Parts: sequence; structure tokens; C-alpha cells
Amino acid sequence: MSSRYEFMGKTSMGQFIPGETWFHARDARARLISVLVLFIGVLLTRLPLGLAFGLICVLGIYWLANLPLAPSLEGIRRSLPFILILAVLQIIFYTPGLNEPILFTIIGIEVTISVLVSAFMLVFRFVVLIFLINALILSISTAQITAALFHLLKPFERFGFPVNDLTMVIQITLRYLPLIAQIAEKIAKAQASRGGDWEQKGFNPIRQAKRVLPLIVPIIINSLKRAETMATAMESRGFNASEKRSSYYSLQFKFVDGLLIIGSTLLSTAIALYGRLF
Amino acid sequence: MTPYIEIKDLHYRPDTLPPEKSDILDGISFNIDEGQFIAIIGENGSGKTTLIKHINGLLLPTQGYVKVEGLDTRNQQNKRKLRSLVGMVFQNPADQIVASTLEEDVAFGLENLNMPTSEMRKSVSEHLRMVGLLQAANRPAHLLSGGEMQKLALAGVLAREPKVILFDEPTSMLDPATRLALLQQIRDLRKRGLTIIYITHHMEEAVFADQVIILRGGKIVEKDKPEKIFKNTALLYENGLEIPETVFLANHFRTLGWKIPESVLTPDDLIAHLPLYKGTQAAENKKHLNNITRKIIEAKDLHYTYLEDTPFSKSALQGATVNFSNQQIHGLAGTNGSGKSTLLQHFNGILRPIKGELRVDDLQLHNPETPLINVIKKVGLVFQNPETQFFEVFVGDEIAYGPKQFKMDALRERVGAAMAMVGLDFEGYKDRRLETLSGGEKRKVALASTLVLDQKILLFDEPTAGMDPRSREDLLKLFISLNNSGKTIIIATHRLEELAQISHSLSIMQAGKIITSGETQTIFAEKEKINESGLLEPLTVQITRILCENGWPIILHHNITSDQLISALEVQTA
Repeated sequence: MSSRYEFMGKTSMGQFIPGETWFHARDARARLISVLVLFIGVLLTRLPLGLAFGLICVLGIYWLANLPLAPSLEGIRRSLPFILILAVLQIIFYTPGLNEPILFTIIGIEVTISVLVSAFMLVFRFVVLIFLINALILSISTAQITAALFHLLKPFERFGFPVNDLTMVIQITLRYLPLIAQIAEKIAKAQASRGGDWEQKGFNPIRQAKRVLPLIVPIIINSLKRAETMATAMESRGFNASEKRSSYYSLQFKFVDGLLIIGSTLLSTAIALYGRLF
Repeated sequence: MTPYIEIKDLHYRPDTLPPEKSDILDGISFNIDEGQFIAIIGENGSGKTTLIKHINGLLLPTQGYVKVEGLDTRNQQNKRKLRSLVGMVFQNPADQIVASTLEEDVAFGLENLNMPTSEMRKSVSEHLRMVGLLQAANRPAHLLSGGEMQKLALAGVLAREPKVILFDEPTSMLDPATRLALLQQIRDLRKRGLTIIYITHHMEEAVFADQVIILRGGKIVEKDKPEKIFKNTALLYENGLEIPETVFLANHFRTLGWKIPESVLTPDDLIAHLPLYKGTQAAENKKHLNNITRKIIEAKDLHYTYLEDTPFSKSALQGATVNFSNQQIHGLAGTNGSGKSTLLQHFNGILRPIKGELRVDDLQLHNPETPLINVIKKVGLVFQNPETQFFEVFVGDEIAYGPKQFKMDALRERVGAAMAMVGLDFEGYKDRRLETLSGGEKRKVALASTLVLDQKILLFDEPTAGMDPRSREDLLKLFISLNNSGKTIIIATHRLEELAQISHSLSIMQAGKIITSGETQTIFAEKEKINESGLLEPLTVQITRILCENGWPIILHHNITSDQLISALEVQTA
């Protein structure tokens, strides 16, 4: 039986798994751009079939990089209560077309087919996006992301763009996600050890949400405290955003990397326009 | 000649400090020569960390100055040079890891030096190898054990090739074997000519320094060679410190007429001077009183794996079997990562075994249907570093959280009584904000917030870590008084000398199993088991063992604390 306090195991956040697949060998910039391009495609598509095609493409990354599905599935299961709440809101506030037949009415809310489809699309889109983001996080280390962004943004430096600051902010944020999960785990355990309600029986999204809310303030306070210590540690190791820094990763953009970007752009376009073209 | 590090009339006062309080650093002046090893000791809150943060310019003096190699820390232009000259290792290993894998973390400090990539790669491997972490170079850093993280932090600092390294209680979270290894590494660095400035609560670590500084209330009370400082018992006690056990025993042995030189400071030195027995008496083995009481906890073949079914899964319990008697103090000893914390979290029901049987009082905890709330009514757990787990704003609310969950009556009285137990004044503290408390006070609040539930079984996970000697002693007394009032107490720790003082039984864990368990006295006779588990025999036990070998008619397992040994020897030499 797994523990209900292992927030870290249940998210894949910040949990890069080193690998030696074809996908891992690609230039970090190419991987980052491909995922970004697919992200846009999934975001823009209007039909369930487009999303389904998007899901296939995303799962393709899992196959290419030999990534486990379990952490992503767990991540989806965890966020499901919140996505469902959003879906309900969508049903409540959706304005159906004028001549649409009403399927049924609950507490004064008229439910039509288009309402249900839009709620379904919302849930489905979130699921695909979670898969996609997890694929990125599992297959690229934070330092590779930082290095990729650094090199991508470098040209803008001459216009006064704070590239060093920005990439460091991103690196620390990513480094922080597992830390936050650890803080949440500790506080939840402390509450449970003193009689707090952390037992879960069955599926009860409201109770689950109610339980998570009291964690938020202590997590923020704790994270800020740790951020301060970490900032001190970084400073003492010579970090200064205004000075020139080198990078552990020297990136080399090859022909296949270009192909990866072209391929994902084509797929993304197909996802976004699915139903309009076919 | 100008000194290597020069600190002159240093005052520090943050803007937020209320006017009635005196400066955090209050006129500190001293010099350090190149290549010296300086230890700084003093109570919690005496200004030790604030002081060393001035040496690499993380903090700047409000008055006075600090110069390293002639570079004034107040001059912004010296900052970059200073950071390369002076490296710092912090107390909490987890807080200093910046990147997600080990190699990237070591590289972080080199990127800041703008080192070319190829050179950086070489340096990263070289320094990871130096601390023994090269094989793990691309593992995620946040899944390392505390000891490994501290080694990684050291590698990250060493890679920048500093000339001075500041250590802020680097061993307080490490088990004895890891701690000795780190200490040895630090002494090697000193031999290579690095200047070391080292903060510690453990006097036996400070004896290796060239100079020891005692700090109190932001002022230097004394600065001298260790052999002078640790002779002065009165001075140490006045400042909330203790004399190293070696010196304590050496002093007593001299009163027995033994010839122990005044210069003896380290255990090895003392052991080399122990005399042979020349009398004629034989040892007399007293029988133990074996009070068999009811077993209140019975664990059989417990298994537990963290992050099961993920790439990061880690097996923490691998068939742990152990029993604990009612109303006694039990020690659970083991190195970092041996499974102590996981086992404790099974005893209060937060974790449930994947395999095996566990009975706590009348509850079957291997049955997942046993509600947690029923376990919590009987078992309280104080986590490691509990002050990082606060979730309320005010002291009173934090302590009252538990009783409120159980809808207990007489809330004020309960909270007041729990606070009195740990020595906090109810009226004075209940409305204080938690973040305004000192480290020691926070620890007390954390203890009170568990004691307030008045459970019959109390579990403590590394309760004395990071405490100064006086607070440590107070806590041990609290354990005894709780036990006298009928509580069963289990203390997980890697400090065997504390368990020797107070525990009735002792169990030793290694790699998720209990490798031996029994009366505390008998376990201390099992030298191999203790060494095998990576723990360290308390000094007194080592000395008693050698005295036995030297023919002294004393019994090892009757003499595991210094008081016991001294009185036994007094009888022999009377």
C-alpha cells in the first residue's frame, strides 16, 4: 500500500529521469521547442478528435524517450478533483446556442449537448496537457531547460533583456517543485499525527480539496523561508545575475534536431486544425 | 605583517531589531592566520552563524570591518574576489543544493566563475570523486541522504578552490560514521593549507582546532588553544557549554591517582594512557533485575518501500522485527537511512506496512482499515526538526491544534500544562508569533504540541539534533520524568551516549532491519554489532572495555555511563 502522504511520488514535478534514448540525445533547445509547439496545438484545437490525435503524439514522446506513464497518470488522478470542479463551472456558466435542444435541467441549469461537449473538452484538454508537461519534465533536466532558454534568449540580451535573471528564476522554480512536495508531505504528516483529518475513504473531491487548502499558507511560508536560505547559499557560491556566467552544457544543434522541430510543428498544426481540414 | 583575516570592532544590527535589544554582534575583534583551524562554540543564539557570514560578505558590518587577504568586505568591488576566496558549507544540507542533479549542482559554482565548459566538466568529476559521489553524478540531488547531500555541498564548495572554508554546524544532521569521515576530510583540507572556520555544538569536534572561540550574546568570551579552553570547566558551564567527555573522564582518572597528562584532549590520546590493573580482586557479575512487563508494541517482519512503483522507489524497511515493553524508555539507534524514521511512522499509523504484522497496544496496524485517529489517541510522534512543520501563526494555536481536532475540553488548561512541561510560560508565550521564537523555543513548542495530547506512547525522532549541550540535558530529564509518569517512550537517534544514560532497552537498526535488541547494558557489550551498523560506541564504553582488557575487575555492561564507571573505579582504588 502506498502512503497518502507521498506527494512527491504522486507528481512527476522536477523529477528528471536520466536516459540515453534518441529523444534524450537531441539538443535541449529542440526538445523544448517541440514540446512548446505541441502545447500550442493542443491548446488551440476545437474538436475532441484533434485532442485524441494530440494525445497520440504526446504518447509518442513517452515511447521515444522510454518514459514511465505511472507518474503522469497519478498526476492526473491527483488533479482530477480540481479539473472536475472547473468542468462543473463550465457547465454552469456556458451559454448554449439559441435553438439547441435541452437534454435535461438540474437546479435550473439547462444542459445541452454542446455544454457537455465543452465540459468534456476541458477535462480532456487538461489531461493531454498534463501528459505533455510531464513528458517534458521527465525527459529534460532543469539545468538543460535553463541552458536551452539561456541560449535561445541570448540574442535578446543586447536589447537589455535580463537573460541571466530569467533563466535562474526558472531553474530555481523547477528545483523548488519537489521541495514543495516534501514540505507538503511533512506538514500533512504533522497534522495527521495530531489528529488532523487525512484519512481518505473512497473518492470525495470536496473533502480532498478541503484537506489541501489548509496546507497552502504554511507551504508558502515554508517555501519563502527556504528560498531565503537557498538565496544565501547561492550567493555564497558566487552567483551574481549581473555578471557573465558560463554553462555546464555546451549545446550543439544538429540536422536531426531541426527535423524534430519541423516534425513536431507539422504534427501540432495537424492537431490544431483537425476537423477544419479533414 | 597584516593578518590573513582581520576582524575589527565588528558590530551587527539588522534594521528590524527592536531598540531595547543589544546588537547581535557586539564589538568583535580577532585575527586569523592563514592555514589555521578555528572552532567557534557557544549556545544557540550566541551569534556564531551571524559572525561567519561576515567573513564572506553575506552580511556587512553595521560598524567596524572585516578584511580577508586585505580585502574589505564592505567594498562592493571586492565581492566577487571574496566569494572565490571564501566558501561556505551550511547546516542543513538540503537548503544549499541548487540544481537538480549532482553534477549540475557542483557545476553551478563553476558557471558563476564563468569557467569554460570542458574545464568545468573535468573539475566536476574530479571533485565528485574526491567526496565519493562520482558514480551518482547524474542522480537527482533531492533524493540523496543527509550525509550524501553534505558531501555534495562540500564538493560544490571545493570545486571553486577557495582558500578559506566556513562550516556552519555541518555535522549536526549526520550519523557518527559519516560525521567522522567529514571531520577527517576537514582536517585533511587544513593540512593542504586551507583556512577552516568551524561552528559546532560538539566539544569533541572543537578539540581538533588550533584555536577555540567562545561566543556569548554577540561578544567573544574567550579565545585560546583548545587545551586551555577545555580545562576551564567553570567557563564552559557559564556559557551553556560542556567539557568534552574525554577531558571529563581524564580529570576523574587523575583524582584516582592515574598518570594522565594534562594535554590529553582526544579519545585516542586518553585510551593510550589507561593503566593496567595491579590489584588482586576479581570481577563480580551482579545479576540484572529483569522486569518483564507487557509488550506494548510488537512488530513482525515489517516491510515498507517509498515511492513504490516509480523509478525512484526506495526500500526503507526490509523485515523489521522488534518488541517494546510497556512504560519503559527504549532506544532505537541506527545511522542515517537505516529506517528509524520509517519505523516510528509505522508505530503511529501514518505509514502502514506493505508486508508484515504490527500491533500497537490493542490495535492491529497491518490492517489498513484500522482508523488512524484511533492510533493517534494512543501514540504521539515528534518528528525530526519539528519546528519546520509548524502550520499556525501563534504559539497557542499551534499547541491547541491537536486537542481541537479531538474536541477536548479545558483547552486552556491543557495547553498551559503542556507548555509548563517544556518550560514555556503560558501567558508570556501563547500569543507570540512562531517566527519570532529562537530555535530552542521553537523546539519546545513542537514538543508541547505533541505532549498536550497526553498519549501513553511517545515517539521522538532525533530529538536532540542541533541542540546545545544544556538544552540537550534538559530534554533528557524531561524524558525521564515523562517515563516516571507512566509513558512508554521510544527515542530514535544515532547518539548512543544519550541512550546509555536514559534508555532501558536498546534496538539497533541497519538497512531496514533490527539487527539486535535487548537491555541497553547487554547491547553495549556487542561491539561488533554496533560497529557493523556504522554507529560509534560511546567513549565511556570504549574506555571500560580497555580497562577490562587491562585487567580491571569491572564488568563492561555495568559501566556504560561515565558516572557508573567513575564510581566503580573509586571502589576499586579506595
